[in-house]
Amino acid sequence: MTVQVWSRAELGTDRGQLTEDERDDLNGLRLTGRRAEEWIAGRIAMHRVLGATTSVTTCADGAPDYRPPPGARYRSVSLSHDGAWIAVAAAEGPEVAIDLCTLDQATRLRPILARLGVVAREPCVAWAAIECALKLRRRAIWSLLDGTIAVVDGCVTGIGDEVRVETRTTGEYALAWVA
Amino acid sequence: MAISIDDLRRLIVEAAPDPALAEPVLACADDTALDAVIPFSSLILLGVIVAVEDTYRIKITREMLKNALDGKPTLKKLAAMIEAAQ
Repeated sequence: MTVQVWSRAELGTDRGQLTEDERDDLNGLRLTGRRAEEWIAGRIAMHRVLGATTSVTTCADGAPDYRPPPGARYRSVSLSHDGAWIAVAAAEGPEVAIDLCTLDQATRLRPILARLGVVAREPCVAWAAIECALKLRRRAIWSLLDGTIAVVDGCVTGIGDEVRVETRTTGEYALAWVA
Repeated sequence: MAISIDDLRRLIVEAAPDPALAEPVLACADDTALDAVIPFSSLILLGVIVAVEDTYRIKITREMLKNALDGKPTLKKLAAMIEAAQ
């Protein structure tokens, strides 16, 4: 699998880089302003991994809709963006998930994690791991409420079967991924 | 104490990591899909829930949130969820 992170500035927001299917999808989504720019940058990032002519549209739940063309190396793809950063994971297997959380979210995350009953020394790492598990299990955000979520030593429990994530922390963000 | 749509708009902006990016919520229609106008992330949504629970002394359950988010989340749906919880 591959895990790559770019700055948004590096990717740009040029609609001309979208495939026709992606442009149609974007029009249908009716995204505006920053949301539209974010969506475009995400597709440009995925093109860097999958190739410029590979379309990645949007599933009903917001996840990337990627149909690997014949002979494609990667069968699954996941996308995350936060602040100035965009992360993509692509895997040879049928499922993959990635989440990036900028470190400036730590203060905001503490009461949220407390509400969810999650004890975490590194809130951004814990949050990225939780989001990763939600994406992998295709669970919605409400599944975190009234649950028994725990994140211990890279293992997320309480969101379906246990999910073991890989993590990396830089001076700017925490990254978690699983395949 | 009932929540107004305007209270909710303010809470969303306050819960956003970058409040400037969330400001379109101050002017959007109350039945507009929030994730079409702002980056309405899980983090913002949970931040709003924590703030609402603290402010209004209520508990938002999984079922309440699930019903409110059925389809696309809007200000109207979230306000109705909070009123029901009260």
